[in-house]
Amino acid sequence: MEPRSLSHDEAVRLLDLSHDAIFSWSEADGIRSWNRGATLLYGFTEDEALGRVTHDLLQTTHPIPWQEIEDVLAAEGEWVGQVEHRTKSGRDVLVATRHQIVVIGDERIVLETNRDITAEEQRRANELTRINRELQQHSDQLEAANAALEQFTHMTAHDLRGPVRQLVNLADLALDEDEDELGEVLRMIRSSAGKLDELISSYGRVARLERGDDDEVTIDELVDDALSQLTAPPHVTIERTLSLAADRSLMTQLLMNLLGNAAKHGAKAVVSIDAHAFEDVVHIHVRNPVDPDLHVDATVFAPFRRLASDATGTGMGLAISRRIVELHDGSISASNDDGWFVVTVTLPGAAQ
Amino acid sequence: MRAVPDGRPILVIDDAEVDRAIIRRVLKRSNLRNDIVSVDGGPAALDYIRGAAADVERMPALALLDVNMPGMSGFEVLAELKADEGLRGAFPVAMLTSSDSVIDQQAAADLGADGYIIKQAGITEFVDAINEAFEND
Repeated sequence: MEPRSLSHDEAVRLLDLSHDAIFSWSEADGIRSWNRGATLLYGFTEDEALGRVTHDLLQTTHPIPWQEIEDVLAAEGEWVGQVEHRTKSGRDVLVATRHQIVVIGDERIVLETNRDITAEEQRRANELTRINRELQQHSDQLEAANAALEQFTHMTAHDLRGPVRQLVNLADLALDEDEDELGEVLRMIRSSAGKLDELISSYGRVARLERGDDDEVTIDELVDDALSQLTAPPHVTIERTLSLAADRSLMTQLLMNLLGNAAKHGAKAVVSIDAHAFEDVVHIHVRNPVDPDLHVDATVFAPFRRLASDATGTGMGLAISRRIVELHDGSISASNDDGWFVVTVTLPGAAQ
Repeated sequence: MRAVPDGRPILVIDDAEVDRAIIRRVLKRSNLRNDIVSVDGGPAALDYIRGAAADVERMPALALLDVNMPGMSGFEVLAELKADEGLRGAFPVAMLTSSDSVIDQQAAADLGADGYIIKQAGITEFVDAINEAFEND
């Protein structure tokens, strides 16, 4: 069967079913046709649009001067791009447009087919913003991790210089003819070298987060050691202390993290530590004042998690703390107790 | 710093046994001729000084004070000495520390330390640093 060609009315109806805004205009007579998609998009009815100059009606903003578009139209017969239109209600819409030159009789008509891409563009812009924000966060975290590493390196170098300086001096003394206690000097050389070796292995363990041999450690000496290594130590009150069996360097690192954290997050860097033992289990509470509205849950121990008030941390302090506690078969929790940020560490191995 | 008069001892306050032994030998090789009394921390130093208050002969001619010590830091010892009217200015106090940090040097100056000497690696350098700090010859 021969396909029947559409009547004029049928063709216009089809045009009206399109969701794209399709209209045509000429230099001399303004807008010549206006489909239903154009009414839906721009809010102007066919009657309101016919005869008007498109650029006035829709307050078109072109990405390039109109003359350049004209040149492309003249040379190629069409121009494809994006323009901004203002709807009847005053909303700005971004449309992907195709301008085509259509010659009917001796009249030169521009046919515009426009698709609203405002929402699409907005989504893309939002996505870009989100990706940028994520990149910025990652970059901040890397920077902070780098700063922490730098500080660790600085601290390590500073600590190692002590015994090295002693060794140089003791060797000088051993070589000095006036030295009459050579055996004593050699004994001290042995002791400084041993101390140096101990420092180096403890850094290795902290870096790898491995538990070494247990020492008998007391909370107050751990706090002292931790405070002496912090650049901005908080003021600490020790309510009660006790001793337990644990890896000294890891425990010092734990206290450094918790106290450093408290100093950074506390409204006032005042920390109180309370330790008590119940059936061989040690409970240590580190408290510092915090915004009473700050939400605190177990996620504070996730790597790279930072509390809202902290713009400087690596987000690793509490994650490393949890790892150290786990290596000692203990547990750690945090809460916001009426404006007190409380970290509770529970460890087995209380000394009798 | 002005010359340290002899006749009374130099009080060395340092928690590290090896450092006390090194400082004792460095002082012996320096221009300072004083006897040396060494203690392992702030509390022992304050005990010694307060005990010597009645006995001018035992009162230090100079105190050499370490900064990083557990329990009571050198700065806390210095602050306590400066706060005690009977002891303030009784003898000069110089920090003798491994810390070359500007913050520590400023803190020492703020608390009224009479000198700041950095522990050196090398006995010759260490002796020179002590000799440069005081006008004794």
